[in-house]
Amino acid sequence: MSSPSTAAAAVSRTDIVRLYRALLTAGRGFADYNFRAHARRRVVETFREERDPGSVAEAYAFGVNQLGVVRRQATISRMYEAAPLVIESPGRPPAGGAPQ
Amino acid sequence: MLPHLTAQYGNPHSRTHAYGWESEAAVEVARAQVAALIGADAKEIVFTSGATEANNMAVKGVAAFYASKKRHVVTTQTEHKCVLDSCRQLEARGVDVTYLPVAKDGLVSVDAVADALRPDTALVSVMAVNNEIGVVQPLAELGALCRARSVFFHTDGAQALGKIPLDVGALNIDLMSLSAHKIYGPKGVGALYVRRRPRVRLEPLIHGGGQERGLRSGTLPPALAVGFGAACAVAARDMGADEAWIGRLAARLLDGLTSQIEQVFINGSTSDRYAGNLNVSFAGIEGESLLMALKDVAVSSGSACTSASLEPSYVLRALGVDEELAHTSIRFGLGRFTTEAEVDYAVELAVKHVKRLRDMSPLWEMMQEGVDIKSIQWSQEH
Repeated sequence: MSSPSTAAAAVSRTDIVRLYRALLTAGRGFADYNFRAHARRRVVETFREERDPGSVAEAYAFGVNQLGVVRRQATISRMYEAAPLVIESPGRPPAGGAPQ
Repeated sequence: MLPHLTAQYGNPHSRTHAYGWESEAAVEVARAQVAALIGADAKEIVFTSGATEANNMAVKGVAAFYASKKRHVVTTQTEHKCVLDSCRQLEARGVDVTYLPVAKDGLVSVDAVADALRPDTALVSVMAVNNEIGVVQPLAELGALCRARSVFFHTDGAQALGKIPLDVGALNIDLMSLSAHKIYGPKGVGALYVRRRPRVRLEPLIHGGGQERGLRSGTLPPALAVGFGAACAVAARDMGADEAWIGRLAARLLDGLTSQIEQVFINGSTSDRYAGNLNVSFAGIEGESLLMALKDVAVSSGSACTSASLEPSYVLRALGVDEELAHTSIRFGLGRFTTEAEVDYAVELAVKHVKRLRDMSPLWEMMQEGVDIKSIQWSQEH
């Protein structure tokens, strides 16, 4: 699936860091609170995982693919926004719930 | 999914043009993704409109096909309504159905199933993960039993798919109902796994153009099927990570509740369960009031299918949960996208309102004083 040039060239540390930052930035673009939170958590988790050198190229390619997914989905989510969740309000409402 | 809702609008059954070919190819990729998640062959996956349809197909279809020789079906009292209702339909057509009770922990006894089997039993249907209380039934033992006794084993896997590892070969499952929207796929699509070796025959519910090996006629929805497949692929990749995350959230939720309020009861086995589905009862308060107070948190008492009625859940009743406690049950669902902040908020809200409701509850006051609520004579003799 990857072109000969990307397969031959090793993935550098700079590339990885750049991908990591791009994924985090893209993830912040989700209009949905839960997707935003999940994207941040999952990206951090995945990049922190121990990885044997042989699988780095494949993981990187997958990351690039997912970056495209996140960017597209974040854009679409901003086209059709839902009302913000209770948990998102800055001084979120005290746990008042139903009136007495 | 979007390409199939926009440019790639071909009918996957059209054999004569590129629109059809590309849609069919996409559907077949999705079919393989669904199959891979359960260890099945792609040819064994029949797309349906959801798990309800799949359950109907399995129960009614198998019973109908083998009707001349087999007149008995075994199931449990805690199955999803669509299984129970389909069984009721079978009874109306003269098929005997045994609805096995479950133990207090919600698990069915394999011995009880073995005892219930008759020479003319066509099917055993036991759900993998219960949608109301989250317990996981002993699938491996049940599958082995059914294989040994040559009875088909169907399991409603809607809540299990992508959450617990499933291998239809290892578990000797012959039919399994699957739902897309339970694993973050689109609503309106599901599948029925139908084993080919040894072959399971069933009478289709829907006849017509012969799609899906003749088992389910009708044009397939490429967008929905592709969404289902993609959801399965993601679940396959993330199952381990999801399990760790949801386990952590569930522990946080439970610890948060039990460390701040007493008399909190988990409904269902604490050992054989899926962590993301936690059903708890709070003694001494009224359930509907708590549910209304928690309206900022999307919880339910019972499941979506039964949330409209005021009756306590039949699942909790089957567990032998006290009527009072059954009324106060709340089901917390935790998933891949749930955050710790949400769990903390839910705990805070629940604790606050349970305390508030208990403060004004005369029943709770009596319970604290050691009065046995059951021994109270509520009406006066004249």
